[in-house]
Amino acid sequence: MVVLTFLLMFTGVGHLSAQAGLSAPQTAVMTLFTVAAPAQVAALEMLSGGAWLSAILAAGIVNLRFMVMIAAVAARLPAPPPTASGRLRQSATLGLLSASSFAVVLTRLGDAAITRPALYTGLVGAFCAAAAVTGAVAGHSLGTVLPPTLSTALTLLVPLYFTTLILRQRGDRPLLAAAVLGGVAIPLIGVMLGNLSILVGGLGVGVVLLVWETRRDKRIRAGGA
Amino acid sequence: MSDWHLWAVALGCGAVTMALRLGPTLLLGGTQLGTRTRRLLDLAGYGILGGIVTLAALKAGGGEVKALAAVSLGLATTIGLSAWRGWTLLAALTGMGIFMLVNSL
Repeated sequence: MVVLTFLLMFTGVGHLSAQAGLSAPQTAVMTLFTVAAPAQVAALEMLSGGAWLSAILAAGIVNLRFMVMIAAVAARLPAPPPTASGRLRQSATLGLLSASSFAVVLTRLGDAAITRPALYTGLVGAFCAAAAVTGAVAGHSLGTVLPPTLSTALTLLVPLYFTTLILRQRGDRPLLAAAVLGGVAIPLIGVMLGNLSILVGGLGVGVVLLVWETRRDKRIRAGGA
Repeated sequence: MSDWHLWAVALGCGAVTMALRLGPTLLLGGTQLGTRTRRLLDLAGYGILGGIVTLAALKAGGGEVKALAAVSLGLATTIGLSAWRGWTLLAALTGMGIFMLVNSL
């Protein structure tokens, strides 16, 4: 489902890319290594105005959130051996993760059904990246292929699907609380911090709930003693 | 703008993003994170996930009252079906259907 949505969503990015002057190979390279529609749109808008260095900087700022996302996924994977090949394997596993594949992987890694988590993570990232590149190149050649009504509905389908993935973790109440708090706090902080709000808001929610959990555990231990 | 600039943007955006993805984990190497750090990252990850959902839903709403009401109804339907029946894709598709229906009224 996420792969199909990616395919359609990135046609819009490809269309913008053509308007900004990028060729199809340039669009494919940018999409393959970035796999982030918001960052690409921000960069392409800057590029349309002629600010090529600012375009790269904008993509970097929008994608700062990946630092925490990848660290969260990496913490759920088995630690790689401290060798060059171990690091290479880890890079291949995490190198193509996007916001959408992060959502799928983070919520599914808690399931016991995933027997090879590193392979699963790498494959989800690779399939999403392949779909993004295909969609972007198609959008570059064909223009925006979706009618606006369907495009808006698909924009909503992804967060609705993510909501169901979050609800699968409802046995762990603090995780559910983190998602709800993040859902409220990040758009509010976004009024002041813009794209940095995802990174700052996510970390803030994590710290607040960790402190709350620690105090709760201390109270329970004190009550039991 | 020259072709050189366009390639610089295509490769530069990719390189910066890859560095942000892989830099911190490669620097840590095979170091096992402590339980509290792993829990912090889990909570921060779900916080970010909640933020992504709300931001995308607000974007679909587009600031119009009717569209925001349609988004809210779609979201409530999805949450209800997911919590009650344990559905994932079917709940999301039903929520999307409700959104389209209310939006077209």
